[in-house]
Amino acid sequence: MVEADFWKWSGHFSSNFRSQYDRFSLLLNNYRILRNPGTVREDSFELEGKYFNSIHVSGVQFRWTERVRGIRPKDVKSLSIELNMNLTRCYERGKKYFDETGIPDHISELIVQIDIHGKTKDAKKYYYNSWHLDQDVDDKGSGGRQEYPHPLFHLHNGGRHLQELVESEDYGDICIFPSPRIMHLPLDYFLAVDFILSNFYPNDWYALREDNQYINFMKKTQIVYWKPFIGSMNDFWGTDADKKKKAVELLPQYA
Amino acid sequence: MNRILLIDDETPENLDAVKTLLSSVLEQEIIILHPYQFNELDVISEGAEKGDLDGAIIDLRLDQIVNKAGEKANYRGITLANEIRSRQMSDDIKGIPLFLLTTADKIKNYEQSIDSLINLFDFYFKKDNLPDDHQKVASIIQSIIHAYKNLSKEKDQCLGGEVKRIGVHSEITDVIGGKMPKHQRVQFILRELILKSGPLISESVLAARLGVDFKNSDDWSNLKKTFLLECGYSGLFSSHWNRWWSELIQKWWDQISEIKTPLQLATASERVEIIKNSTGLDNLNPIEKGENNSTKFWAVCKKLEIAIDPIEGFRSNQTNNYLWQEQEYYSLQALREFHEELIPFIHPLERTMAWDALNG
Repeated sequence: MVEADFWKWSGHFSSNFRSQYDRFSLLLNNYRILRNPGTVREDSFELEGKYFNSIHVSGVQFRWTERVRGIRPKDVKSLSIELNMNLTRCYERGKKYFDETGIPDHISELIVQIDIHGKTKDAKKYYYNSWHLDQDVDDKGSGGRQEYPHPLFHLHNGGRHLQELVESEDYGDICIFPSPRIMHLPLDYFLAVDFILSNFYPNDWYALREDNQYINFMKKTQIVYWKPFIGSMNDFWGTDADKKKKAVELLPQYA
Repeated sequence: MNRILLIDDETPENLDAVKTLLSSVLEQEIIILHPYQFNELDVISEGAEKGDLDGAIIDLRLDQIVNKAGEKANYRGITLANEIRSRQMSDDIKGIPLFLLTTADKIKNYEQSIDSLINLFDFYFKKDNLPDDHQKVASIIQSIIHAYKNLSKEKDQCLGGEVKRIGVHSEITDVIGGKMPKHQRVQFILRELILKSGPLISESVLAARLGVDFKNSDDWSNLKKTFLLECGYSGLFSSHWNRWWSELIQKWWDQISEIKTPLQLATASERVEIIKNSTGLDNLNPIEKGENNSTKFWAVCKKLEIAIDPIEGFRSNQTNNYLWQEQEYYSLQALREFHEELIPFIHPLERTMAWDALNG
């Protein structure tokens, strides 16, 4: 299939991601939220008759903020967040991808890396923390058992990446344990930004909630990513056996 | 051979040095013209039309020295350049590059408005530096003339064949394929794409991103020649400015690292280790941590040109014209070295932090 054809039926989300991202960055610029809008890279490829579109957003940095309560150690004076993510979506010919295909099928890879950087007033010492949202794909269909049952989309703190962030290997008195995988809704770039703002920049988040342009971004993207996800979750209590199976993929704890 | 007009009120004897310096390096014929009553316009117009004039170098002050006939212009280089540019816009003069030649002393009076002044010209050079700089200057002139001659509305002809492998922002292709006058399209490519970090990166930024201490790594040129060639930029201006496509570098990394860690999140030593293993080049050394906390280098300090992780840099107050251009940063080291002098160049939102860092 020629590429142009592919774009036509894959809908408006992939082909104009870049222009939506630009508009969104400009909107965030009005609120002086980003210190670096980061870079975007898009790839599309074909594999086993399916078409994949992957979007990498890297190096998005949020402005330094001093208004975060309860940080320890106390000498951490300002925080900045860095967002790196990769979202790969999969399309099959003839399927309207978010009505008929459930979320687990249309998102083939999702990694959202949220790195928190804290620094002292004199900028001599940096501190790190990290949250990670990803999609568990290890043993899909293998019939095997995971060491730990993970919800398909889960958020967890720390992890291997945090160890990599701390290049000094200095962990103070805090010990990093494998964190629970907490079920979370899938996040694309726009939703990931919203997640960061609501948790670390509450004042900006409240201001943006009053901004129609922002709300429209959220509405559109929630329909694409959250509506089918929540629909699939609800399908567990329906009668369709296939749909039930999909719901269990999302949340293995379903009984 | 390029034929270039040198419009200057200096006596021919005094200009001989300039002429010799510029034509000695490359094949360039320099024709000297003493300015008077805007006669230069006809010379340029005819020369550009016939195709036997490839550019003009214009002195900042044209109104100081009389010629043998006692004639003197009563206008300056900026006025002349303005007139040429406006005629280029209406297509009465064919698009050829204009260069500003001046002395450090004379340009000093224009320092406040240097940006708008420079916008008229494709590049500016200082006469005083020519004895040391002439090779570089000649190469820049040649590269710009080449760009005027080879500008095309097709993106792969302007930006090189590699451009087909990446997603170029539509703002870039719109300008290249658009209706703006030639000099504006050429200047867009040079100023917005080549001279700023964004889709294209310079050698020092490339080295920062690969984590390689390129000045102390014997295999750096082998790495560039053998492995990074297909990530290189081969479009307009590439004869003078070496650039790489940032996106292709990332793709190359994804290949050699088997996407275990995104380039941006790997430390310098991890990056170099993976590059060494994959290329078999041993003499590559990672950039030392130094006073940094992070070695996830991505940019270079605007002042000291040393590699930094943007999170540890102070944002410069430059405003980008486009979203696809990257932020610039100053390192903590630069701040400590230049103190208050640097503060005005730091973004207002990060100035307090910069003061705190200085006083800490």
